Amino acid sequence: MNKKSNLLLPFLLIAGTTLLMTMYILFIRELIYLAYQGKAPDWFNAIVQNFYPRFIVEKNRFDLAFFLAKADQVIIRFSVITLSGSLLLILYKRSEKLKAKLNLFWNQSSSLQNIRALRVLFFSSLIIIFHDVYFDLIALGKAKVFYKPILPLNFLGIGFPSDSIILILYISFIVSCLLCILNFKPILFSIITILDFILIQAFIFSFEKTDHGFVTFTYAGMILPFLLYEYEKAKQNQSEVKGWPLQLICTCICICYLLTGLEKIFISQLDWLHPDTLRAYLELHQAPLGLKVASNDFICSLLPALVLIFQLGFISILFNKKMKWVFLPAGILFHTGSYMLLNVGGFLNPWILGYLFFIDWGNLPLRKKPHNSDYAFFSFL
Amino acid sequence: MLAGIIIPFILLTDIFPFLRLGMFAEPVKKETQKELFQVSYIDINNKETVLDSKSIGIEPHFFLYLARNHYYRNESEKFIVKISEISAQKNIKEWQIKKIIIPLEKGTRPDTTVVYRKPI
Repeated sequence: MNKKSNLLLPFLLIAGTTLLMTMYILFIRELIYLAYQGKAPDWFNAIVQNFYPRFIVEKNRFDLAFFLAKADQVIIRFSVITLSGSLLLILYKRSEKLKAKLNLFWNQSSSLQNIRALRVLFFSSLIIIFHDVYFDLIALGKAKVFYKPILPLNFLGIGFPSDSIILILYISFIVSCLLCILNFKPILFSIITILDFILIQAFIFSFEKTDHGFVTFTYAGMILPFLLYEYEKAKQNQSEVKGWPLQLICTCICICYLLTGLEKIFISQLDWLHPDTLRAYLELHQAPLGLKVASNDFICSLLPALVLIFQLGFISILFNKKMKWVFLPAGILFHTGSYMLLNVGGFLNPWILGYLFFIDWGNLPLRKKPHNSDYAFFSFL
Repeated sequence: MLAGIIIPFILLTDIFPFLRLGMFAEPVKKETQKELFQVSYIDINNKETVLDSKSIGIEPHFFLYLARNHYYRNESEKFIVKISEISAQKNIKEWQIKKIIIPLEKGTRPDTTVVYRKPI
């Protein structure tokens, strides 16, 4: 009975997925056709507007097949995720070896020095990447007639902030970052910092354009208060820090890379590897170095393959720590290359700064030197 | 947390603060032309001036993005109304939005069409 109830959830997931796929093939595909023609029922148009607001713009640029392919994507992705999740769940319930491995993965501990250094580096990086956000928000304020609040702001009825509120948000962000660096009530101020960070991003993204540059830092920041809580607990007990939040941060960053790679495969299949795809992007963005690369067939064939290997392979860091010495430098090259070839991001890319979570700062060779100033600095904080 | 990251991947949309990471994944065809949008105004002396987006506090690339989005949503009128609200220009007789198609092939000339006019 117990074993049966253990397997109930995965089997329910499998049955639910099968039912959804059947309904999609029989009814939902037809509704998408009607939405494209402008003849779908209001309730379906409302769903489309909420989940895919760009539909109304993009239907002027793409044909029906493009949107049907997108809907197919949702169903395929949902099925792949739920079916593989169910399979993993069944394996987890049945295999003691897998259970032990997963427990080991999440229960790795970390040194106090490492978390202390991470705290200082993370909040310092936040100040660096958002140091000029006050001026960005003030500039956006001039164009606030175009303010179109994204879902949480829309839901809460929050309008674009006045200049004085922007100043308060900015000062509270910088001050709470500094207090975290100085280890003054770090749990409380890390929560304030990340809420501030998310709110500021929400205002910036409410002008119809999303910047993916801060995504890994945002996810890391959402988990960081838990890591600092474990740090405080370990400090009191003079023990190692429970490392599950750090593992979760690293897992989130790896999944981000995996998903960017999978997006390319799901959307463009192997066409993404065709040199013309990269060439088209390079010509679209008109970066001087990108235009030079666009004229070289060999590089246009090689780079997309390397990018896919990098994005899909990055997650291997989680299973083999030595791989970080391959993938972290590759990541620096990837993001710097994206900036130079496509004018995307900058040299100081928050995705690169996210790599600081993969380095064990408490176990760097420089620590072995007793009078090393870097180590002394982190110890003081 | 992990579910928050994966759901935008499944639904192909952002659920802020969780974002879909579909940058550069869409299939692109080799562009043979570039599309630009320009806003201009005609004053009472019939002089036409192209609006500098920076004069109303908007960066040019962001201005172009907004103009394109409004155009494809058939909201060019709304766009012009918003622009005229934040512009300090006086004595204007008419606002215009122009769509400029620039062929990437050398030696071919751009094609400009007025896609929306709003007399004041």
